[in-house]
Amino acid sequence: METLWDFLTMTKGATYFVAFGLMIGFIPFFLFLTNREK
Amino acid sequence: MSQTTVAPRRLLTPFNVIAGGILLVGGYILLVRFIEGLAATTNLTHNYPWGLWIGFDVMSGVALAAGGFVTSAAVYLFGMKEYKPIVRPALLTAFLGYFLVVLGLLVDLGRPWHLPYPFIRQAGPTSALFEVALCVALYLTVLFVECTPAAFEWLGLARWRKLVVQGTIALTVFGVILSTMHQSSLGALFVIMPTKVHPLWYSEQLPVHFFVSAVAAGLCMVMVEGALSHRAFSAQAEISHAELDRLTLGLAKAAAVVLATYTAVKLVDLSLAHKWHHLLSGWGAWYAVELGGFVLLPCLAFVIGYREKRLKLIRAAAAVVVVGIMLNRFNVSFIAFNYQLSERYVPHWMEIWMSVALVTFGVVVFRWIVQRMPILHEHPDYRGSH
Repeated sequence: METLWDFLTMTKGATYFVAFGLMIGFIPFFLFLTNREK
Repeated sequence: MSQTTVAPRRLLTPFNVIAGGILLVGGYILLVRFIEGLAATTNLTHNYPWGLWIGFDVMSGVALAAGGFVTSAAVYLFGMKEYKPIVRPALLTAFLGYFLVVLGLLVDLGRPWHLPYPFIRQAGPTSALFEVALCVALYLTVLFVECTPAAFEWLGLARWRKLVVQGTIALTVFGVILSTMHQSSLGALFVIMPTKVHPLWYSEQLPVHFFVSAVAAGLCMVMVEGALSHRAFSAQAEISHAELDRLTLGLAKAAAVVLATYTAVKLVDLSLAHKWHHLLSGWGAWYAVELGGFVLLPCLAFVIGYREKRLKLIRAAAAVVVVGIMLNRFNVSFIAFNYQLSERYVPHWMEIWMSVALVTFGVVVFRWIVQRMPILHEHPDYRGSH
């Protein structure tokens, strides 16, 4: 039986989480970068 | 004719002597290459038909010339008028960069007289190389036309200048389209070689990698070129050091965002194709050097430099990215290429010298033009009119 873990590790499913993490990570990066402007 | 006059200069300056020496030896290598062929001047083999002249002169040259379309799009399409003083030097750098790409190709191709074949004999519209050939030829023409207003101002041809300036927006749009197409198509050339390029560098998304990295390379090249030409041609430069520093800060902010995006694209690709385990190999360490040392580290330096207004740090980071983009193109085109073979390609000294000679030729032509034409300053007769 295929579990959620199998889906995340054996398919491209994990990439969605990597991409989501990178997108979320971009917010503090950009806020840190533009902090001086404020 | 313009009011600008060129004061008599000494011929035997250190720059002229060094550049002359490099070009003389380059001329000798050129003779050997065309008399005795590629075998006498290169270490190219059937396994490595693309060496330094492709990896450096074409792949890196095109990426580093991306500053032309990036800055002209920012100024003429996105209305960032404050960057106008750096558009002309960026366009001239881009034009000379593409011109050197074509010169490099003439030296590298086994039958250089076949260069116009894609246009007049065998089109091959399904080939990625055809798209590269078409776009580079068209974009070189567009860059030439975009550079002509400075020449027309220098020659006093006001009517011709007006004609070209009227088409600035159209030329910029055309330039952005052509650049997007061929910067990515250079990556597409390697998409058809999945068994030859190491998995860490190979990706079905290589066209995206090439395009995003080219934008970062273009921005960094504009910073490096701006700093060098402002120092070397201070008499011609119109904008103050403070103004150049302000523009450099803006470019650093943009470069930080583009490099962060590039890192994200590369990491998503590692995940998408299940390539994380390759990072534990020797090739993985080399990949980490490229991504960590030449992308993430300068990205961090740009962020700190922008926040704390540390211009030296920003310029050093820009130089690191320029080297990094070359390293990336070298990796894709010959270092991590044919990674399964025991045979390795190491450039012949003549290949290295020829590439240095081509860059030197570009610098000499850039210097000649900047000392005569209104590139780093506005012509007094056309102030604020473009």
